[in-house]
Amino acid sequence: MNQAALKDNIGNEANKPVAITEGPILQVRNLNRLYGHNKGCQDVSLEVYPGEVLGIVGESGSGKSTLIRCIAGLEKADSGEILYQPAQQAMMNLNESRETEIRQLMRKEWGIVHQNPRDGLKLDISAGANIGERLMSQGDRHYGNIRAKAMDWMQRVELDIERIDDKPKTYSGGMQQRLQIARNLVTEPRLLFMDEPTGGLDVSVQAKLLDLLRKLVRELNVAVIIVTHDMGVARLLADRLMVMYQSRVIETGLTDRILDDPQAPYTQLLVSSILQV
Amino acid sequence: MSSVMKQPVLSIKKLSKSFTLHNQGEVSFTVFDNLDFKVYPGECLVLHGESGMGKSTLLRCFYANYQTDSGSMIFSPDDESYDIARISDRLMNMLRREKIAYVSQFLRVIPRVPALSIVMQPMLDIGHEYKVAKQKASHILKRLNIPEKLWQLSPTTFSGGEQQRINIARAFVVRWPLMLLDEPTASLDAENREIVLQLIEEAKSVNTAIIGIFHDKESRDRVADRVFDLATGTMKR
Repeated sequence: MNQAALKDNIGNEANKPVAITEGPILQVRNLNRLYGHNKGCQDVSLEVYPGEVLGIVGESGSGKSTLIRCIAGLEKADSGEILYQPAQQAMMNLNESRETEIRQLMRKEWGIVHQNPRDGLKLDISAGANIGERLMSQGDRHYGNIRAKAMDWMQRVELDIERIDDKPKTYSGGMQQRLQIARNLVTEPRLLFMDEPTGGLDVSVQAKLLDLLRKLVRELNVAVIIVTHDMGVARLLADRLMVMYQSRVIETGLTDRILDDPQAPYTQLLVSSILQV
Repeated sequence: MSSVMKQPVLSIKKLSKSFTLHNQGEVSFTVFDNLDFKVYPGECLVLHGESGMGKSTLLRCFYANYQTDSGSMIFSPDDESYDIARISDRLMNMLRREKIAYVSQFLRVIPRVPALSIVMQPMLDIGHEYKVAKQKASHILKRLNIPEKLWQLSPTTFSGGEQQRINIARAFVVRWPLMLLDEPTASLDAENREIVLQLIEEAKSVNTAIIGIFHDKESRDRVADRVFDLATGTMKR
């Protein structure tokens, strides 16, 4: 059989080369933020592509939260570069960008889901207003639109729309976390930061929230950086993992490769500590 | 099979793999060393060797689930070639979605996702419409004798044989340049084993290359074009 006939036989779904067209949405180079010997993060470089979920794992104190806070602009790095590719403009170097530009970016293209929903929600205004606020900050002024979108997103995160006018302080922890997710996703961000998003929740509530996150991340094709100390959460959500230990990245790889064939001594310890259920 | 005209789908050169257990006294052991072979479109290469010889380990290396120490694994599914030993994680994820299927002995799925959705996912991942994906997934589930009342349930509660058939359905619902099969017939009864062997033969007939591990001699003899012996590192036939 000749090559041409062979190609025909493989069939259209297998025949075309895999398409890599898009460049990274985020590039971090040699990021440093130290507040003590090996405390914080040092010499961290990473790339994230559209639609990709990068998990950052490690024990508490390893520097993973410092890292995500620096990238998300919540904390200032000592040194290092952060490059972001916005939807409609040239690549931005965030070190050289003005504060106002970065704030605008955060409102428009980024989302941040905090471990504690109280850090990401306004507890004294209604649930609907919490979701609507993000839309208004982007210039949406039509009350009917905003309310309709808020209701739609409450349904998408499986919250009872009857409670749209209730204040989040009357919500349970799991409901607050759903609301925080809705508030972030309503503007369809391109890059989402999540710091232990299921951290303080009961196991059964956590499982449902993880299912929801997985589904939404897929649907919206949003790039995600998620920090977690829970390898189960990492396995469920992340395409790739970065393992941090004492402020440095000690291993990176496909999630299943890290879990099934860990290389670094600390990664082996971390993986062997997962309870087998 | 005339391998003369064909280009290999996978070409293994000087491939070595060891494990080092850093937290257990730095124990290190070599699983295989300096392996060389090629796999061609439309053929089934069977990995042979005693239990513990590293058959599954080798298969996992082809899927980048395990990391090799040295050597190369040149994968050429189309006009492009990729060295799986050195490929970026992002590109490997794409190859897994579009070019290489892996069927392990055990079903590893996200809990709470229904069987039908699991089998549909590979179709959706390569851009098929929901309706088409559902149709093809239903068809293969029927063929593999999974009762329709189970389709909307998560397979985590299924029997071993049912789980294995979900695993197989998920892989065979799409056409691939390369399939890696780790004992795909191990926990199946005779009737279902026959169906799986037919699926393998059909895949070969559309030029899918298959690398497999088969516990039972009967299945092995039926589908194998060549056998690679891990004990000696040579091709047996």
